[in-house]
Amino acid sequence: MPMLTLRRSIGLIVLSLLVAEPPGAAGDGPEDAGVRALVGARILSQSDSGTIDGGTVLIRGDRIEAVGLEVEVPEEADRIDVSGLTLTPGLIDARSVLWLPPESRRDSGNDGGLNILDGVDPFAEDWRDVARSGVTAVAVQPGNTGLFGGRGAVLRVGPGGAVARLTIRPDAFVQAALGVNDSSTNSILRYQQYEQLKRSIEGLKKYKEEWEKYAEAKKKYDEEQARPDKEEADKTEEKEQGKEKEDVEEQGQEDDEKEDSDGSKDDEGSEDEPAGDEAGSISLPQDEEDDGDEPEEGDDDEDQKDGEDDTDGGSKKPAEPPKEPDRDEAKEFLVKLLGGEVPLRIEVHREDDLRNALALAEEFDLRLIVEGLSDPKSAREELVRRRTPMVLGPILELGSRPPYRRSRADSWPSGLLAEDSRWAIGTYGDRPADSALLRAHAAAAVSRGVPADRVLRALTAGAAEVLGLGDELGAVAPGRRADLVAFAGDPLDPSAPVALVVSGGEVVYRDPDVQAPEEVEPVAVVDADLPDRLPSRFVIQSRRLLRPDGSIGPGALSVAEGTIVASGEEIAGADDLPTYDVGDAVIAPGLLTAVSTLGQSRAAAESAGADAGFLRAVDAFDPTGKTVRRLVRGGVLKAGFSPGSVNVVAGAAGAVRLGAIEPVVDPVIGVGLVLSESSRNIERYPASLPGQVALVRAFLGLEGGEDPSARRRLDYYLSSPVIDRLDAIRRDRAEEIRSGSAAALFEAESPAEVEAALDLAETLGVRAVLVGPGAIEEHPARVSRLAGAGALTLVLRPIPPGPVAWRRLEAVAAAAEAGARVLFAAEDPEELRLLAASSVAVGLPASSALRGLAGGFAAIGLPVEGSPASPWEPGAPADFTVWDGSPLDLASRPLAVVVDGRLAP
Amino acid sequence: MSRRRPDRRCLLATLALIAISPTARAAEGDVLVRAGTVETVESGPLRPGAVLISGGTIAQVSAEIEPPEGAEVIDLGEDATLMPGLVDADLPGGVTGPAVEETREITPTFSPLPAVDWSSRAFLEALAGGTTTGAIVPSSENVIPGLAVVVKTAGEEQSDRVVSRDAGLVITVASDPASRNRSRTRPDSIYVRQPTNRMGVVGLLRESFARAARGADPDPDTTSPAAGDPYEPLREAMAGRRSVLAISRTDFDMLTVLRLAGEFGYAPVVYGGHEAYKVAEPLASSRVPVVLGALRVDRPFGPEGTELIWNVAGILHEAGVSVSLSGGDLLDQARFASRFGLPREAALRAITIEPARVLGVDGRVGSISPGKDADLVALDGDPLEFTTAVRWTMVDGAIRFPKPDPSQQED
Repeated sequence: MPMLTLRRSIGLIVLSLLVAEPPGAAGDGPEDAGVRALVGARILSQSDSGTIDGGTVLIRGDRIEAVGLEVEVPEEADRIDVSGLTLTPGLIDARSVLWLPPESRRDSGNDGGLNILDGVDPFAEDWRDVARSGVTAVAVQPGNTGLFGGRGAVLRVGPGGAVARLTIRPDAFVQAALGVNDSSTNSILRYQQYEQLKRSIEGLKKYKEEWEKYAEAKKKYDEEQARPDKEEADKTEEKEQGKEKEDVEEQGQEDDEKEDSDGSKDDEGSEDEPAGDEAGSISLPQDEEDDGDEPEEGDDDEDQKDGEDDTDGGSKKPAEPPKEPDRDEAKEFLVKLLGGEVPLRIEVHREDDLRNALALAEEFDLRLIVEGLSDPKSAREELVRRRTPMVLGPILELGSRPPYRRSRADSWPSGLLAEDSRWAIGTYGDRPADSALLRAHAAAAVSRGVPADRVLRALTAGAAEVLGLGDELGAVAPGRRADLVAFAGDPLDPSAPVALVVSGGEVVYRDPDVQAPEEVEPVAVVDADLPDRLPSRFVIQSRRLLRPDGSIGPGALSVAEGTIVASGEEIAGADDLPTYDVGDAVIAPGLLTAVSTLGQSRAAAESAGADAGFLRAVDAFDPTGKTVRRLVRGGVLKAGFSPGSVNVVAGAAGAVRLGAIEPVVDPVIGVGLVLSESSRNIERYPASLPGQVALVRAFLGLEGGEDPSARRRLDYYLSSPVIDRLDAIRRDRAEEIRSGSAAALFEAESPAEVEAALDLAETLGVRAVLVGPGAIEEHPARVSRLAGAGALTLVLRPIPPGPVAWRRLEAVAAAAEAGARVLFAAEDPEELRLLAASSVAVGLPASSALRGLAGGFAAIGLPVEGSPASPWEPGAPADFTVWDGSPLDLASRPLAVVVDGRLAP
Repeated sequence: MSRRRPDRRCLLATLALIAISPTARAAEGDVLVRAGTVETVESGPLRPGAVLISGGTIAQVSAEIEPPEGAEVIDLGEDATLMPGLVDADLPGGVTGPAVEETREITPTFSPLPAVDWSSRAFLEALAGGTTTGAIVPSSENVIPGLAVVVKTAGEEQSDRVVSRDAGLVITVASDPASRNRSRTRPDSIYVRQPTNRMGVVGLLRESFARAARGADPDPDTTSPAAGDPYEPLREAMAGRRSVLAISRTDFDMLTVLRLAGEFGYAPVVYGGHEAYKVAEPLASSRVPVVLGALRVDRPFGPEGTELIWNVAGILHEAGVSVSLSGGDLLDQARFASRFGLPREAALRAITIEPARVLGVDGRVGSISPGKDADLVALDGDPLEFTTAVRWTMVDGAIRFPKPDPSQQED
């Protein structure tokens, strides 16, 4: 076996030499081999050198050559000025699906026979979006649908073209999973899975033992093949010494008979038979040993020989060589798991699965990397004690959460970690570009209580260690791979733009427009020090109060009976009131999710008639809904509550305060006009975009008036007086839009839909709100024209990372520059803040983002009845949140949420 | 590996073309294009030929033109052919969502124009194949799907790209509209639509034309609730002011088209026509043009399963029927048709002037003649040779293809 593997690896090396350099790569050569110096950055080296202010990193080829304050920059070096920026090692996503086409992301196996490198598409272009988020390496593996998939690898983030060019470390680990797929809630199946995995590993052990036994037997056999001849030869020699002449003839005979043995003695290694070669070389020293304790064995041998000499010389050897076991290509590699040459990376979520995994590791001497760990309960102590490497994620749950992750606590994963835990963060995305969210997950980890320096370590040196690449990646140190990222600000703040990304010495992303940020003194806030219950009258003050214009400065609020009675830098005459000074904690108005169904789209929609202009979403508002409660906990206290988008005229969106006793602020702030696919319905009019446009025009009374016969059809079950009443409501709503007292909330996605919305907005001549906002990047001129006229509001909804997202966010930032208002909408508080942060990262001014996020209903740009112009205005409801940092920074978390002057649970 | 690397020569050629392209100054400067062959289509080929373009329209066509002062000269060379931009009477794609309002069967005022996605890939692909003008035809799910619109495949302003907002009323004389309808099982269901079979389709057509003719109120069961009189386009068709584009594929459907045309007095054009070779004579004697759907011979078309032969275009032409080719890849279709029997001249007409006439836009496009839009295709050889490639495509005096688009540089 050893030789076979050797032979194979030689083959691999030769093969990789052949394919490593793609023919076109020659053109990149000079750039690759270049010398670069990154000068002036604050280097968070993640190595023993710690933080170096204003240091220089010298790169030669794909390696870091020198790091420090006094590095001599050679003449020919390409000098890149990164002063004012923060330089870190390239970030590592420990669980990614980058470079994997859909089938490779999903598929897995149960016998460990897969190699993820066989499923890599080196031509995929998603890496660009990942690279410009600062991620330079990703770990990929077969999906977790299989309980024993196979080999995972660590790949680079950079130009592809050939798998070999992407691979930083092949066979970095072997993937396994317990209790993850459909069996996660079925105890019997879970047990069976464990048994199956155990059997697989037992099979490996057996395989290894079989081969070892074979090797031993073979050795013995070869020895025995060789020994008698040698003994005989020795004997012959003895004889030769004595009776030379006599033996000439004899030797001639023996030569004929036993060519092999003579050959092995006289001319080692020159014979054709490979087994003979090996046996010969091994048996030589043993012969010497034998010579050492000659007495007994020698006698035996001679005895035997004496007998055998009389008969035929060949028959004294064992008749048959040992039988070679069946060779298994997959197991050839997988046996490296035993003993820990290659780690087993196993996804387990529950305590029992984790304990089973640890038992497997014990029994078979495996090296483990564990991931999942949603609810390890007491087995956590075991992990801490053994310092088992962990891959944790996703920390932000965007989208639906699979059943096995539902048991995670809100503070996960901070409870799992100890001071010296070895861990990395994985994004666990479904789409390749999801790795671009790594920093968002990291920020979320900070907000859940993990110290920031340890999170940054987990993204760099920690991840490298977990993946067994501690000497290769994860630190800014001489000899490491030149993977470097320069951030304009805190690397863990997703709103901090990336200025430069170097991957393997190549500059893969550079934005020369990124400015070095202003120096901000870090403020550590741990607690707001508020009582469990707030009195009915109190004053709260802070050195950091978020003002409606998006700026932050000292301020105080005076609250009485759930209402703000005064606000300002200081409150006069408040000496007798209880005063709470939250110090450096940020007091911010409740955040706004601008146009959202709050997870109640099913209640707030009626799909029988496409013109549901008479509906009001607020009539279906459930103040205790799950989404609402989650939003309140996350500091989102205001919502434009809109009906679902199954109808073309979806109905009226209302302004609501979340968590409040009297939630409805204004039942009609706008009317949803849906031009996207969701409102096309083959079972009723309209089913096409022209039909949608015609219906909206008819609703708004833009042409031809109404078609009564159509109405009769749509409201088939209603009596005439009811229909007349509903029609009257419809006409009122249309009038509100035309007069500008309610917004036209257009939902559009594709370029043609957005164009239709812009057409309608221009025809109406009123403020248009684009929800989505759809493909505005296709109509830059019209969008900036409308924005410049002050008639455009964009509501940004979550959009998965990728080239479209990038272009769209850039278009939003451009529209904001031209004068458009930008708001955000999401059904999860962190997703909402992530939207704002991502917009800032591509160029939206932070103050605009904060205005949209925390400016209240006034930010829509329309009068909202019953809502104050400023959230701090006397008379406004005392709704605010105390944060430990800016709400725009995803690493911040709400310390206290106050609604109607009372602490929300 | 090398697949993704743009061929350097190709890239250089592209860059060179962009450098000499008159895109930037299309409006002010004159452009003179010379080629070994100029296929004018309506007045025969010129060998050699020259075309002078001024202000986005063709100013002069002649064997040799002296370039005016300051004019840009593009010399395509001896082997090259210059021909009018191709006209596709049924451009595939380019629409967001369904190209028909399927919730009612009779939607004569429906226009797909609001759903046109001007940045769609479909237009880029058409442009790459030399097509500069295309009709967007509402699809055959309805008995009367609506109005066809004609657009240019490229241009700066979207409004400039619309050639005709109303190129004919589309009707379906086939079983497509019936294929997904359900019969009335519950008396009160509002989701039931008729017809459910071919006879029903024809019956509904006849009823609609009859109602339109006598000025009756729209039938609320079948017409769309959008504003306006849905029967107006039908009346215009019957008065001869509008052509009727009848989607039909089988021989008996085409005979039905002729019969209905006789009953209501409109001028039909057959769209599809895969079995038209069986009824070439009656089509020729009623002077009904045929727009052949994309030629495909591997499997039958439509729910009826048409029997298609390879020389359908040639047979129609020989019988004296005006033949157009449609449905994308026009050059390849013309090559295919000419290989199996359509004469050369007819094959060139079938992708230029014939469809332009069918759509009523032959005053602007479809041939190289003074006064028409400067929509031109430069080919590096004979248009009907399979090895000939499109060198560039010009729309309204500006070269729009190739443009530096990575997807175009692949291979």
